Amino acid sequence: MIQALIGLALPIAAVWAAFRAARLGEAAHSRLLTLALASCVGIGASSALTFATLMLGGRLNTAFVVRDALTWILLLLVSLWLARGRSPNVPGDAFPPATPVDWLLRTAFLAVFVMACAVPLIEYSVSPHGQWDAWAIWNQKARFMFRAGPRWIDSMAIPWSQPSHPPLVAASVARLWAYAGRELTVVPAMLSAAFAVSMLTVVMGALDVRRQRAWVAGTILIAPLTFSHLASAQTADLPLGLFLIATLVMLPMRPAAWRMGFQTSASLWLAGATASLAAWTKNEGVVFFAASTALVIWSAFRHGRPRDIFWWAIGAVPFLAALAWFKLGVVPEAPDYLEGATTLSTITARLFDAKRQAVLWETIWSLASRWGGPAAAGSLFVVLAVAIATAFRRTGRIARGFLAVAAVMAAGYCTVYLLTPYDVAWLVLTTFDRLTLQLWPLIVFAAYAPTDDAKGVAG
Amino acid sequence: MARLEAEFRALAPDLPPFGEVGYLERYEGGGSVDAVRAHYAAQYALAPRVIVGRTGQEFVIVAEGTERPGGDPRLRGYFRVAGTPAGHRIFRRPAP
Repeated sequence: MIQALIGLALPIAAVWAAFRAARLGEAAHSRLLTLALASCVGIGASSALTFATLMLGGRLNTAFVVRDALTWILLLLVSLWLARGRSPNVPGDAFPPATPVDWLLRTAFLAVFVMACAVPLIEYSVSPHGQWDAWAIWNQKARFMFRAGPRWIDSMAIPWSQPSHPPLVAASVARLWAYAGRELTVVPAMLSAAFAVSMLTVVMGALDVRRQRAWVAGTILIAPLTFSHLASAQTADLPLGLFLIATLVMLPMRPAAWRMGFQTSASLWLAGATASLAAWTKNEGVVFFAASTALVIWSAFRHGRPRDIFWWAIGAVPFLAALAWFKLGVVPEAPDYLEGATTLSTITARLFDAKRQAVLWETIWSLASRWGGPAAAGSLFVVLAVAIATAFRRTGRIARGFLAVAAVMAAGYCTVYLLTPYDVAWLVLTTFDRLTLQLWPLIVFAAYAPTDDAKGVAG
Repeated sequence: MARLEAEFRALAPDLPPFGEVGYLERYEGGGSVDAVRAHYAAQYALAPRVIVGRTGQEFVIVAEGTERPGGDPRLRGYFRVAGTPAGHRIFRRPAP
């Protein structure tokens, strides 16, 4: 277990130090956010290296662990040497004195956080292998990688294991098992918890923990039982949601008062990296990458800064290259949930089938109204309504941007629901909670996003 | 799941380390959640072998309760080579 923790911490620490050496951390404008982004890129990069090792015929044995650890230690030492003498401070003032309302909000957050942490602990004690998709898809692929080395691609022959989904989660679990020396069930659970904490950190760090809105948004993010339930599921939806929110908070959509010391190029570099990590995590991430790239291109030309696209691309290229290697070199066929949707007539017939549409909307309405769990039913509609109200304000540019991306993603999910050869109601029933969780941090952030007239602490 | 996984894992020493291994689907109700869960659990436990839901391979896993009582024609030509206390068995047929 300790070795697995070291395996998790090494790339995060090395990437954090590299950010500091390259002054990328200043783009995040928050120590918490910088650490969360280092977690995203560190876990993503280590999974890509693990994948490359397997594709080049290597095995996840002791030699791999030594090489992997030395790589990250070397990066850490070089980064620390390059950043020597440099203050780790990021722009911004110290915490202002807390008011009674601040303490009330922080206490409420702490209470909800403790309760949310109890759920994964209880669920792990009952289902140490995670929920159905964890052992049928993600941890199973990790077992192939850990046990069979380069022959892990045999797992592509298992139709229910969703072969077309990229391997970030599976490769990360297999890598940490290699560090641990055995298949500890606690490893994927720990990784899942790391993703959940990183997501919380991104939301609160980006909203600035010196502000009350960050504590309210953090509480609302983790309050639904669905969040903590899926945090213990050990599936790929939580990391995908993490990369979505990490990308959007790094796009240069923040109030002018918060832009002191803001580096657009570094910010776009990081956003490009996390957007491509979304695509490296799950197929839905490809839709997000396309949508966020379109947003960046539109913004770059609108503001006469075409060079922004270059920085975005620089960040995205390494993980897109890994994705291309996976898709072109490993994946045998298109996702089964789109099977048969290859001709225009089939696509049109499925998309505009009134019966399928009726089933889709009826099922979504039923599930959406209950999303969040028994004590949080209706929370999705309430938070969405607040986010839309924020977006409709003249100064709600950030909320509009977040909701636009969430709407594109939701439209993509609905398109797949309509195109699938499977029973529409069954597919919605078995995926809606997870897919909504991917968008949940975007909606929460949009509801509490700073407006253009906000006075920044630093500004 | 943990119980099923442990039960199927006990079959691993008697199977080849890689390749396809057959899995006898339940003689009735093969599409039920329990039947599917058992098949998926066998795959999870026995990776990196690929557990296919048919017979014809040299090795076939016969999970507890999947075989038609009184002799299952799908197992013609196979003989039992291993079993577990939970009732799961491995059948094998001579390689052609």
